[in-house]
Amino acid sequence: MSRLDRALRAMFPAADPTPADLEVTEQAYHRRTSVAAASRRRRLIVPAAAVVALITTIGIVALQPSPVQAALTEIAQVARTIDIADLSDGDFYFTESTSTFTQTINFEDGTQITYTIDELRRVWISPTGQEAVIQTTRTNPSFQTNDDRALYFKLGLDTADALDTTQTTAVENSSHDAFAQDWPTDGPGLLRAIRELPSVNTDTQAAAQLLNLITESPAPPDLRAATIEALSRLDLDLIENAADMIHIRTKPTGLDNQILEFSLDNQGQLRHRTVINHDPAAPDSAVAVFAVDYTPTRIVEGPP
Amino acid sequence: MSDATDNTLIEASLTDARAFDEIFQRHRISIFRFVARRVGQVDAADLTAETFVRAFEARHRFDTMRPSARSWLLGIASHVCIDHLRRTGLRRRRQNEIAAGWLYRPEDEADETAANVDARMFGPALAEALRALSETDRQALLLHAVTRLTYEEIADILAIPIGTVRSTLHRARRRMRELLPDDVRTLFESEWEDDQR
Repeated sequence: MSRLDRALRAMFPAADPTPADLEVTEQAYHRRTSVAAASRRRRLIVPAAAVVALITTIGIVALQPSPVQAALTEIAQVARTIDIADLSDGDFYFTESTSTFTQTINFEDGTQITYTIDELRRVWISPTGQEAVIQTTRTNPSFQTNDDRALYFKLGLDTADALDTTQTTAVENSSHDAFAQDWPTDGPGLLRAIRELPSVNTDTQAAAQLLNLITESPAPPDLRAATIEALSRLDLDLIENAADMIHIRTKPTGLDNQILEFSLDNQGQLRHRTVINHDPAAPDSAVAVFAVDYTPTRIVEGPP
Repeated sequence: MSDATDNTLIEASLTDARAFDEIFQRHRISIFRFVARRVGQVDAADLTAETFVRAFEARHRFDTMRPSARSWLLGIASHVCIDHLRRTGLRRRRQNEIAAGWLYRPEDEADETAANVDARMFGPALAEALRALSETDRQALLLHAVTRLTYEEIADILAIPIGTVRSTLHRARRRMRELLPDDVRTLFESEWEDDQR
């Protein structure tokens, strides 16, 4: 580096983040992306995509129902008759979930730390979907090596992760996907609307968007039922149809490198979701990226 | 998941937003450093978060042919710094803003290394010369000299061909030499000669 470059570099001094900086960054990122995920703007309809979606939908309807279609149709019929919301003033929709994440942090000097961490998440959403309180607790970091463990604590990443500490975030002007637009409350209409979203090109992506409508959700019975009817019109594999739960998997298409597995209970509540990275050229290398278990959403008196 | 490339994770985040969290975890420290160099540590945490929020909202536009998201994130961070200084617009800040999104902070110089002495003694002259460069020349020079980005990364951020980055840097250094006062230029003269080789 030349003397000029060194002088210029000294005019704009470097700074490494302190644990407090990392904590501020982490909290702001998670708070704001949770809002962003819930309030994504919908884009213009692409007529060609709508035509393709319509033709696909007509084609599927013309076929005999598959076992997964038949099972989902039955659940949708039940879901349309069940309203979990017997609301009083101050009541919120409450869902709890447990998940395990793997985190990898790369440093400029080539150092890398990989660890897994458990997260307990509790979400309270107001009946209008406009207010939310999100409470997370991260515990049990697990490391590949003792060096990773030592570096994790030395760098204060336990503080950044708020390890063993319950973080509570209140979100105002939130908008759950269920209220992001005036969704059709019939299965075919809802599926058309979902396929028109710019990020939806495959059935796996459509399934993911549909599941967002009923994840930690204040969705009314009509929308919940329509969501399940729309799911029944996708090309899905039945893993297991148990007495109290149906387990389903999307099919790899070659257009995306993912498979989605999910479970619905017999009242139409989402109980489990797993995202699996899948390389069509190496099917044995499939690996679960995220796995989350949800309790059924229920009504509770306001957040703590 | 630790083996997943950035493009795989961003593609995954289209179906499960949580997949983007690993992009955040992987790059947050280097983005923090990039932002802190440009606007100072005080605002860096918020602006780092802002960078990732914007990236999250724009993730469907990420070119998945790229295995790494680094230069894409640096480009977003660069715009975040520019917007931040425009938005805050304090007079002192604007006076010290040498280029769009680059805040000169002489008070941050703490130690007595040769580079810091140079920066303190000749900083005002260097700042004046930098201000006289064209915007593209200034950005290219600062991205290369200060944040040590590669030609490829600078090309991505400034949306210019990589060959243009080389010629832009050459021109920027030549203009700096012309713009500096004689006594300051003399001190850096031998290096500019080195640069021409």
